[in-house]
This record gives sequence, structure tokens and C-alpha cells, in this order.
Amino acid sequence: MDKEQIKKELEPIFLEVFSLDRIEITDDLNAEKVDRWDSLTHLSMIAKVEDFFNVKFKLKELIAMKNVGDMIALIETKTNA
Amino acid sequence: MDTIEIKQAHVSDFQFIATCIIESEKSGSDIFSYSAIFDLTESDFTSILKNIFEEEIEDQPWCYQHWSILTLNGKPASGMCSWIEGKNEISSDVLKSQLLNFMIPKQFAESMEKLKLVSEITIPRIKNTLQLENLYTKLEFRGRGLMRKLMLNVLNEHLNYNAEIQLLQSNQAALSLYTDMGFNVNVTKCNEEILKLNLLSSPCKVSLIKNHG
Repeated sequence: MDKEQIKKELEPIFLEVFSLDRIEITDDLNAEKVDRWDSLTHLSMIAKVEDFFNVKFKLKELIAMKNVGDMIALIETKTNA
Repeated sequence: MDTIEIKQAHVSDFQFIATCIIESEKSGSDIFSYSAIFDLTESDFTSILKNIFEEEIEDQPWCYQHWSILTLNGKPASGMCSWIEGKNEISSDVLKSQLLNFMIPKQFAESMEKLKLVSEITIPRIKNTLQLENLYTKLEFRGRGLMRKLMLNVLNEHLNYNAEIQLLQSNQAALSLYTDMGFNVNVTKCNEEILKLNLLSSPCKVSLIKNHG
């Protein structure tokens, strides 16, 4: 799966988790840019992403994830492995 | 003559750090939030905490590197942790939740409704501020100004940063100390449901700020 496909699949997940009407998935998107992105919605988003893409993030990967771009890169690596 | 020393915490200080975390979370009450929310005993929580500290994840409070301990005549008397919020673009609350979720996924999932309730009084921490958390002095060492000394030591090491402390409103003794040291109330958030379910000792959380300089 390439980056653009991953972004497209992430959109409905983000809309649902953060209760939004619209969102543009960009590499620099992070908690500071989304109102309802707190520690709980973050965990919910991670769980849904892992479930949807059938991947599992390691703890060291989770704590190094600074923005959506970092997450997309990890999903790309894991789904293409 | 009493000997007072302030040092950065080490692995051997874990038990005292765990006491600081548990007692400061209780805010002088019998309600320990992690027991109330996740149905953990204090002993269970301490074991989980030890595993988290062993991961050495910085920029969140459960990391030896961020803990300062004041000893009085060689005995640990006061402890607190401090870190710069969001230094690596990730909030400390997100990091801490990820660590807890990683260590106790089942309890975390089962406690989601309680967590949502508590999150309603969560106050986002201000990025690039010095965060002070889990400040605690053992009962037998209180009334000697030790916490003030420890706080001043930490604040003086970070003179270029504004400082933030978050605590439950019920902890009036601590609030009084912090305001006396120049902290001002910035935000207060309340939810009475929290008190009805005995999740925390107060339905209100307060954020206090002290500007540098």
C-alpha cells in the first residue's frame, strides 16, 4: 500500500475518532491541529488504525510518532513487509 | 545541624518515587485514582510503574531522569518530577497513556467510560513550559520548608521557562504553597460526576502558571 492510499484510508478513521465533518490528512498533522485529539482519542485512533491495516505498532514506534506522516511511513513499511 | 541535599533520582530511589506518585495522586484523601479507574491495588500499580520506569521514556513524568529528590540527613524527604512539555512534539499525557495502555491493555479497554469522564477535566498542558508534578513530602518531614527548597532548586535550573503545575482543587495546602511561590491559577475544569463515582478526590482540576523572570 502506498502513502496516498494510506492517507485515503485514514480519512474516515480520523473523521470518526475525532468527531469531525472534514479533515485533510497531511504529513504534519498532529494533536495540536485537531481539537479533540487528546490522550484517549489518540489511543482510540491507534487501535482503529492497527485494526484496519492489520498492523501492530511497537512501544518504541508509538512513542516516536510525532505526526501523521510518521504513522503513515510505519504503516507503509509494515503493510509492504 | 541538618544536612539537606538535592539529587537527580536513580533506580534505587524507585520505592520513594512510587510513594510520591501514589500519595500526590491521592491529594491527602483515601481515593487513589489509578485504583478507582483501573481496579488496581496500590501494589499492582507499583509493579506496573516499575516496568514503565524501566522503559526510560523521557518527556513524561514516569522517568527517573525527570525526578528530583531532597534528602534530609541522608533520608529521602521530598520528591517531585519536572520536564519540558512537548519537547519532542508529543504531549506528555499521550506518552503516559500509551505507556499505561501498553502495560495494561485489558484494564485500559475496560475502563474507557471512567477514563472519558476523567478526561473531561483534563487540562491540555502548555507546550514548552516546565511541568512540575507529583510533588510530595513525607509526613514526618513537613513544616520545614523542604518542598519550597526543592521547587526553588528546580525552578532556578529552568529560569528561561514558564512553569505549570496541575493538581486537584481539593489540595488546598499545596495550592496555598504554589500561589505563595508566585504561581497563579490559569484554568479550572470541573465535573461533579467524578465525585459521585469516587474516581478522584475532587471534581475540579486546576492549572497554575508561574511566568519566568
